[in-house]
Amino acid sequence: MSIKEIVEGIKNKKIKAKEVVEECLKEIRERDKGVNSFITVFEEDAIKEGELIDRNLEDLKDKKLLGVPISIKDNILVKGKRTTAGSKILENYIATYDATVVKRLKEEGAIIIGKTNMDEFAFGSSTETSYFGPTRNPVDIERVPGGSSGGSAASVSAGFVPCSLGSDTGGSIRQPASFCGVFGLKPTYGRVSRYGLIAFASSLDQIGPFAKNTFDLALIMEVIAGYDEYDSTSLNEEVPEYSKDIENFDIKGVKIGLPDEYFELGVDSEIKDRILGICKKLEEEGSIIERIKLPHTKYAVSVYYIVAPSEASSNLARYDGVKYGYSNRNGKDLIEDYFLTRRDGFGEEAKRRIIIGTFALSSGYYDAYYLKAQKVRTLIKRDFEEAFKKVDFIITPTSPQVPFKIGEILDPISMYMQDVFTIPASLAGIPGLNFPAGRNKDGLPIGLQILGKKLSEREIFCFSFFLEKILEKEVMDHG
Amino acid sequence: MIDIEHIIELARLYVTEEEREKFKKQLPEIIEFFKNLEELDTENILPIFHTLGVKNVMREDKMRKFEDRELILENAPEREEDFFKVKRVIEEI
Repeated sequence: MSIKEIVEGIKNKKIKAKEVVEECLKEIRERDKGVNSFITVFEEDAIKEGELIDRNLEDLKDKKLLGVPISIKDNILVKGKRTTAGSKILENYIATYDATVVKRLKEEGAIIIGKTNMDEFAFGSSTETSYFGPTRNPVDIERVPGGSSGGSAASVSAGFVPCSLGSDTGGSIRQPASFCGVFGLKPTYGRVSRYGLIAFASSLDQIGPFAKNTFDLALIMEVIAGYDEYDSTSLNEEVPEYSKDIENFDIKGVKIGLPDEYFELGVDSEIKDRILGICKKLEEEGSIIERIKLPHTKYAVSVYYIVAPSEASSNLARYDGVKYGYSNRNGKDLIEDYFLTRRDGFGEEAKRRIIIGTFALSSGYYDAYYLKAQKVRTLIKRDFEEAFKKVDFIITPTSPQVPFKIGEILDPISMYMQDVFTIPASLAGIPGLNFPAGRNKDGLPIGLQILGKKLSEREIFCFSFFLEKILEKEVMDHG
Repeated sequence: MIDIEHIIELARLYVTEEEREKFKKQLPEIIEFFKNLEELDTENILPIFHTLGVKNVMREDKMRKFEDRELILENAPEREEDFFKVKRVIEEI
């Protein structure tokens, strides 16, 4: 069921909120063993929430997400619940407050079903680095769901929940959405509060939604977006009602840019053909397709893998085993306890990134790496600013490949290259949406990425909604 | 050149023997991968710190009461009354 159907159904007493929750829980119990999309499931509490809604229906009828079950990535705090970030170091950490996004979801009647699996501290593109074991792609369980929000994407793709929240630092919503064949949005940096999100790279992190259609995605977004005094980087800009009048969109004359750099070597030819095929359809509908250049694209992965680990190494300094989390107290003194706690508590990829980041920030190297990367970041941002003077949207593949097999990519640099098409928008702070664009000949999902200028979420949703309708029509016309 | 022993000291991080061997091989490769940035002249380019240019957000320095103090303390690996307990840092005289 879509979010809209659930809310209408409960409001009109066609279904009970409790039944919707029970159905989700049943599916998770029966099928999540093979997928491993959840780290924690809130069975009792979710049913209680459902009952509470059914009892107080008259007072709650205006709630936008009345009785909607949602899963939350396990780096977003839900008060009183275990929040692990996929790491041993937080295996038994109990959140002491609700993240702002969670508070807003609860206020609109959403029911938190559980916490989803992820790469440790969101360090990864496959959900294989989780301390709680890898998540499998529900489309093909031999393959990865992408990452780092692989559990969230898989929980929606498998039909356990209609929607989820994830976080995206360099592609961690869009790439798993692409791999699992669902919709996912990384908002403009600062559009959604990061208060209560376990920090990875603070200049890049954004929380965003997953759903099975554009309307649902827009509805979640209008609930979670907006200024928050507890996040000084959040933007004090009005939030449009994204789901309202979403069908009001005129494709005639809309300019779409296809960046040459995203269709060059290394992109799977079936993905390329599919994306270009869709663009041809958009052209037939009246849009104008233009080839554009984003010349600094090839530097984006280097910039990202300097900036993100640098910020991560600083953010992860807090895990010292003193105030919360795993603690090894077998050292000869307090300092050695820190070393031991961090040795046992962090996994290999977390350590690799702490080391890269500590190196890039260390005395004598700061200018050559971190500062240099932040300057090149300016050039990447300018590429987009120039492009958006000429076009309204940019379309690219979300990922150069379809989902790979579990254990297939072992080399760190090859894994880092997975984010090549999602990283540039993260560095520039602009919004990006993964649109599920069908399957390849082996039945594996293909993702199309729509990028827009800063704070253009409303336009992106309208465009995505339009695209959804013409592709639905295509399926109906041709079977 | 990256000196792993020095970096892990700075990061307060022990690594296992297996990790040390892997990192010794991988980290120079990763640093080498970053070298393409040297092609670009960034002499007159300003670095980005907030992508939308928000800066110096001030607020009143006023204490607010946190509702669930006890929940924070319950997360402590070792606790004595209302304190987080760690090994003695200052030597007895």
